[in-house]
Amino acid sequence: MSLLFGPGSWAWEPSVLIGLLATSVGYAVLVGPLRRRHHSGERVPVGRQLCFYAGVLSVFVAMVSPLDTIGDEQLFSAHMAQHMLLTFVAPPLWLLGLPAWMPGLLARRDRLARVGVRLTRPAVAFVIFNGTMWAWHVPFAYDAALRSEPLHIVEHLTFMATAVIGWWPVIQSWPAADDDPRPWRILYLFLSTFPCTALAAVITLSPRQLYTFYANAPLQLGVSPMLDQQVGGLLMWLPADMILILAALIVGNRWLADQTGRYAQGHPPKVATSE
Amino acid sequence: MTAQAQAQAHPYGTASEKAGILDWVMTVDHKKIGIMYMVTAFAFFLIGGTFALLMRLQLAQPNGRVLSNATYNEIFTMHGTTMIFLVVMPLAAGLGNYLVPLMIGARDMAFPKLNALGYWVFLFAGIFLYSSFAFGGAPDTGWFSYAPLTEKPFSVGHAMDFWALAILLLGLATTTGSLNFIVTILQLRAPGMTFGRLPVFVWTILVTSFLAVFALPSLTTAGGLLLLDRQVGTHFFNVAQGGSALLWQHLFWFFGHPEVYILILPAMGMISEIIPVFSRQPIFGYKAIVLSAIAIGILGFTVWAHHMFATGMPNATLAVFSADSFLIGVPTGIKIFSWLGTMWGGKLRFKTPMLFAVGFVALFLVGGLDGVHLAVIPVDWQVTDSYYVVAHIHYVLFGGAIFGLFGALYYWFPKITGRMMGEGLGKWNFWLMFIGMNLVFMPMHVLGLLGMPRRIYTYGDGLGWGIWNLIETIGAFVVALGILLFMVNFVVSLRKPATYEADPWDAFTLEWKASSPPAAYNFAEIPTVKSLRPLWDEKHPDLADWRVRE
Amino acid sequence: MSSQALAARPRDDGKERTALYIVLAAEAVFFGTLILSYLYLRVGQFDWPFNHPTLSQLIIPALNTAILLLSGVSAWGSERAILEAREGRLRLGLLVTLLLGLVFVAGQVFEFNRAGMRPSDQAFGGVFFALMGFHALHVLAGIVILAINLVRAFAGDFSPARHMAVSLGSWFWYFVVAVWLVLFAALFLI
Repeated sequence: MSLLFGPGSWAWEPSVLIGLLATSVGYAVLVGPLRRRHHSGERVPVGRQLCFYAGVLSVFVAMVSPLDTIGDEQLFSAHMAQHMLLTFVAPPLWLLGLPAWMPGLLARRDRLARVGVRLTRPAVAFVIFNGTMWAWHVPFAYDAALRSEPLHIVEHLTFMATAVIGWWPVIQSWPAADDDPRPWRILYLFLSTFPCTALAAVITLSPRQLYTFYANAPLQLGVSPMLDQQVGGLLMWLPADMILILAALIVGNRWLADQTGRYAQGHPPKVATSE
Repeated sequence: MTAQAQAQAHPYGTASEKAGILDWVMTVDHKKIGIMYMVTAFAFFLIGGTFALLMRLQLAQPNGRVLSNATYNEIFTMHGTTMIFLVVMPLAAGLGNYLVPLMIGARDMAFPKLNALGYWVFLFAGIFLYSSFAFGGAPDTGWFSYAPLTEKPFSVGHAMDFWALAILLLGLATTTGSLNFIVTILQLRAPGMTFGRLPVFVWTILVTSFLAVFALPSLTTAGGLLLLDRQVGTHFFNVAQGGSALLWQHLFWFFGHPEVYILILPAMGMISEIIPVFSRQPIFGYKAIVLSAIAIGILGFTVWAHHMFATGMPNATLAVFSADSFLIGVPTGIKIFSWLGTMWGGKLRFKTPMLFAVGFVALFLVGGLDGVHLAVIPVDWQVTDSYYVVAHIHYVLFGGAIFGLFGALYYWFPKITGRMMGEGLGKWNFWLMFIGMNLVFMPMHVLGLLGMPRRIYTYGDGLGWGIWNLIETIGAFVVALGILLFMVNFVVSLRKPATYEADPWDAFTLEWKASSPPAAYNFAEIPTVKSLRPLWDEKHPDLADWRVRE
Repeated sequence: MSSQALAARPRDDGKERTALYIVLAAEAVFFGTLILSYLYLRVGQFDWPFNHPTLSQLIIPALNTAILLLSGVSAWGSERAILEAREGRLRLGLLVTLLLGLVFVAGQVFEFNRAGMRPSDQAFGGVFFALMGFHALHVLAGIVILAINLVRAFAGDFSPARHMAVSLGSWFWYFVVAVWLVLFAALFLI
């Protein structure tokens, strides 16, 4: 146990720590002093700010806690848990903390803004997020990343970046404009369960070792490689689907509340009229 | 000419240039298509029901000799395939076709010709499937046709090819129908009908349609690969050559689990329309009921492995799917609270539609509890492929879907025909079906626990199964009597003079504003909607929903 | 068609486009389940013949992929053309797309035969046959749509305001191209 949780098994990687610190400080400055200087910005509620920091914390847990070491050396399921934190936990939390004016601030440049808009279009974002996920789980790619540290860093960075893009159409800007086609976000989340479930199913139901790195890993913590692989697949299967469904219900709830309450506010409802 | 006079002069629409049957064959009117779906589906219901009675006769006593084992296999396979694909789905599609445009204040579906095509493909597929009886025998491997039993060395003859082709055709009909519903509901709603004012039935049709679009392709793949294996000699399900028998199960149940929600959601929507009207209250927890429908839909795609608990999956996988299957009971439970909450404190009128609706809630609850029970792995290992499962599916599909559909037929009969169905006969119909249904399916729990496997054509003496089987057979005939009464009621009611009352139940939703039966164009003027109960608002302007809400 | 008749036709609205997206979604799940069936068998099967494809094995499929990608470009071009009312370019774009599609299908048939595979060759033969075959069928369906559009284009049926059929046909074509890219990667590159 001490081998597991002792100080030696935490991954105090300077680059990671600096990156997390910089992100936190940068965010704090942007929602604090910098916001006040740009009077167009509204105050970010404390709850949302905490979401952002929770996202940073989840990356810390993923990359610095023993989860990282165990995942890198011993257990596929731990590595999967780490990836889940990086793609299904941190990005949505970050985006929840991101107010409407912040992306605008960062994308003062026209070209950057246009690329951003193109990338975060639902169909494009969907392909980018799920395509990257599938690509990295192809056995030779996954094993290669475990054997090469630079490639591993690329893997994690691309996971996080594409996940932010993938979650963007769902969480979008805040506060959301009344015209937002929220129902399509429910469909987007529903459709996102398909590539996740499919990949998880292939991994979980595989009768043989897909990732040779773990087949030959030194310490297994008493867990057989096949069980480890199945648990890893299951971690992607149910938790990922649950998070997506939860998000769909939250979006759906806000949308329906909006739709049932509209007439009281005197807003003309946005519906297609029949001819 | 007023709408009422119009309805009297030309029931089922305006006078067309085509006479009689040609009018029906060439129609693209959603109301006529809906009626055709329902009539055809009911005919298949009688056939499938007859098969059930034959099975019950065979099983009434040990060493039964009513049917041979080969015939029995065909009968139970065709019973299941018929009831699922040729009865419940088309009945719901038919009612949906008839009602959705009326409920959203539209003049027809978005693609009327495609609508008609869907019906004729369905009819053809059903007849095609049944023609297998004449070409060497009907399919006999169960309605989920597990490979490799369905492969060439084991299923000689053409039965499985008939099955696979019929399934592909039905998939086409269902997909085009679902497409039509989705586009219609998204784009043809009356002014003011936001998604928060959509009747729950329309919501369930919408969710069901999405489920169908995404689930049926898996069945298409399964059927297509089976045909390839059988006709071209590929080896998808042939283990000896690198294929996998489990692959069939995964493909089938990836479709099969969402399919059960496709079967039940429309019926849930129907009773969600009936219960408020007969409780004189708006539906309790509209948002909850809609969100739970969406949740059931999405979750339904993740739990298919619970149909495969006994196939040797590793324990970790079993545990996760067990948990997931428990979870899916939650949104369903929420709906039950919604219906009960609607009835609580309301002025209840137990007319026949309401009887069937309440019967649905009670029977579906039993079936749902069965299902949760089956999610417990050790229980499942004990009773899978036994009569316990047969009990579960029939409580949810017969006690659930069929009861909901019967309630709906009683409820909307006046809208479709301009006259009411008899209340006296209706009550007899309901009670016979309710009591009979419990006589048939409650003892199946006992039989399952006693170890009687499903799909056996007979059983030996001295197992203690005989008495339960006998009770079930008696119950089956009680149910049959109830259904016979329904048909008598139907015919007798049609012969009564029409009253053309537009709103005989004092209901809440838009379809009751149209005449009974509606004119071909549905509404003279498309109404503007301000709440979930537009007709209530119109009839009670001081108590209108849009005034009461904050 | 006269400009009056053209004006009298119902306007393009969102219905057909929504319907196409739904059809494409169903098709995507269909191809998805096909690909997953292949992956499921492949992780079970221990001697998949294409584990390390040689360059000579890849050359024709790669060439075919390029042809199909080109046809996607020409399909895009034909849509742009009608938006700018350039009817000549529209017809050319449709024709080129159609011809490239035919070349692709021919290439697929040629490749399957050249590889010496038969559908009954264990599981992998069936996989290749089914995946490439169902895809080729969809390409042929797309070609039929393009052909119909081509005929209508020659009849002057399309204008910048009314060209839903061209858009739908192009979108179906993009889908077919995208599916091939995924199939190519799944069958030959992993």
